[in-house]
Amino acid sequence: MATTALTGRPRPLLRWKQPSVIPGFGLTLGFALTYLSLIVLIPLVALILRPVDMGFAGFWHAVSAPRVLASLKISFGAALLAAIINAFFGLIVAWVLVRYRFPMKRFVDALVDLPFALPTAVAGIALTGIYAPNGWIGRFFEPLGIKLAFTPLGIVIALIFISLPFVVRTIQPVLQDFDAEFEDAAASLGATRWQTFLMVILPSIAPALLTGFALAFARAVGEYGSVIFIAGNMPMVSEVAPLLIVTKLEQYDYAGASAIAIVMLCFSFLILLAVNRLQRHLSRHRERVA
Amino acid sequence: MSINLTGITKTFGSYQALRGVSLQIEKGQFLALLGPSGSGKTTLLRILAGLDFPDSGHLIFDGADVQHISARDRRVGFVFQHYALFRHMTVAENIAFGLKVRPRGERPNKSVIADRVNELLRLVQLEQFGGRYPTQLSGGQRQRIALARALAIEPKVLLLDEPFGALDAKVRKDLRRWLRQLHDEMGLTSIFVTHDQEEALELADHIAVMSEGRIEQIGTPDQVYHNPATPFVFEFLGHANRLTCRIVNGKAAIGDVEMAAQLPGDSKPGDGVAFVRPHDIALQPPGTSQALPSRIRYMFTAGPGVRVELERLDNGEILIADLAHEQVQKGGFEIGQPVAAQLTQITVFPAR
Repeated sequence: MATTALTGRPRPLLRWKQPSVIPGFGLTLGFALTYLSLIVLIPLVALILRPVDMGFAGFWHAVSAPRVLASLKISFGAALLAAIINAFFGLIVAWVLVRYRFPMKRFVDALVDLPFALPTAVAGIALTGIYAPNGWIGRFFEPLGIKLAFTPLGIVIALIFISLPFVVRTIQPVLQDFDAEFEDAAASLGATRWQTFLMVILPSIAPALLTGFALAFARAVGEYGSVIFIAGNMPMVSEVAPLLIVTKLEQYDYAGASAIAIVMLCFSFLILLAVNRLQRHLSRHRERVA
Repeated sequence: MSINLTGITKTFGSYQALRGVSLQIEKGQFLALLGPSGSGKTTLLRILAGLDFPDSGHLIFDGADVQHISARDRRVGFVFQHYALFRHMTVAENIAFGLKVRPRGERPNKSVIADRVNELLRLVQLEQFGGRYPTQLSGGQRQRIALARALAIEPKVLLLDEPFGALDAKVRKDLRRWLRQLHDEMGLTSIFVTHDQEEALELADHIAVMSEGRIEQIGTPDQVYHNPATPFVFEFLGHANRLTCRIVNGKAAIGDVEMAAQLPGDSKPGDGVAFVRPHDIALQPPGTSQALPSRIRYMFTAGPGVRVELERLDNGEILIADLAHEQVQKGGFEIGQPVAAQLTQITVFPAR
């Protein structure tokens, strides 16, 4: 009793709340949880509950149909490919924007955000026009026997277009903060420029690069608007999963649409989780503090 | 390695960082580039390392022109002010970096590199820290790792940019002594940049005092401290009282008192500036001839000596004097008391 009197309230066993000069922990946490529940969690639960009346056999039947499997393969394959290509070229774009000064740099910098702002349908129509066999770029590939639009290749092109800003915009600030002193140090120790890039710069920006990759992938996997114009949408060949979902919805097959959606959700979640783990592994040295 | 610099200039945009620097450094020297910020000392160091290139001038290492040789081929050890340790590498990987990036033919094999890393860790007295990351080390430890990394490539010359700038006073003193010992034992040629005159006087065997892109004076610590070549050097190396005077009859006339002084070579009569170090002022009873009538304004007694603030009675200028405690006790000096300030050593430069 004496100690309680001295220290005031007895200390609870589990304390979430750390004493802080900035008030409002309870309020903001409550708000954040409510908000996330309303916006993210409840719709997801509704989605998962939707196919319950199909039963497991019905669910399995819906998602294992060859057309569904092919569309999932296309969606995930193209998104992964687009994200990998963007991780590489997006890094170069970010590098050029950070490191060099050139005329119209601000304009080019603003251009990067365009895929963010452009309605996806507009992007799809524009890309189709360019990459179609008679389009500006497509006509050069046509004689070589390479068809860009209306094939899976077209899907990859559209996904590259819409996911580019994610890579560039996540790497840019990290490159900006990268101190030139590290490059000087590497050079004075005898490293070539290429060694400096591979051994010093790349590892420093790898976590940001992975974040950009994950964001680009997540954006690309669910893309619908721009893809349907350029894809040709041939079942089994160039039909993406989101399109199949819309098709099912139009046929009032809500349970079937939800089933495909759930599979996509699970895959995406697993891939993002893996990326996240890798990222934590790469930036492990940052968390340890003396 | 001996280094010979002649007429080095460097501009950044419209800013002239170096205005014709010539400098000769003998093998085994420990040279300090001393100057205030913006004096061009770091630029000079970076030019030596090949991290910056001069606009004009010659840069010769051991008789060979290295002007157009890049940093990576110069074999110069560079220790950066903020260490620039690679954060994603362990301490051991950091030290091994310079050996790992060598071309395939010259690269030592793994066990040789590992031995070398251990040897260097022992040298910098951080043997158990090889597996740690730089963020897990204190400032002084990071500094020593940065040094070990620079030494790993067996540099011909070691360059250090403000090596103790970011450390606290105690660590700084210990590291200074240790670095001096290392330099002597390894027979290095070392050049370091500092704005701290005490550091330069204590650590270096030669000091180049820099100001506004030029070298004001180069010499041993004794030479630059006791025989400063310019008013700038006098004021930069330790505290100095600055008094306007006239040069008359080979003496300095301060106020209406003529005093013996160290005069410039061509001691033409005219206006001059007299410098007096605080420890070259003695206090005498008022009325003493050959001394400046003054009043004690303040005394700071906490410290190894007593710092006395004097106000000249003729023109109100302030003089700072450093006295021993027993002198103050013997003289019975108190605040407000009139005294005569006797300047025992005066250095005069002609007024510009």
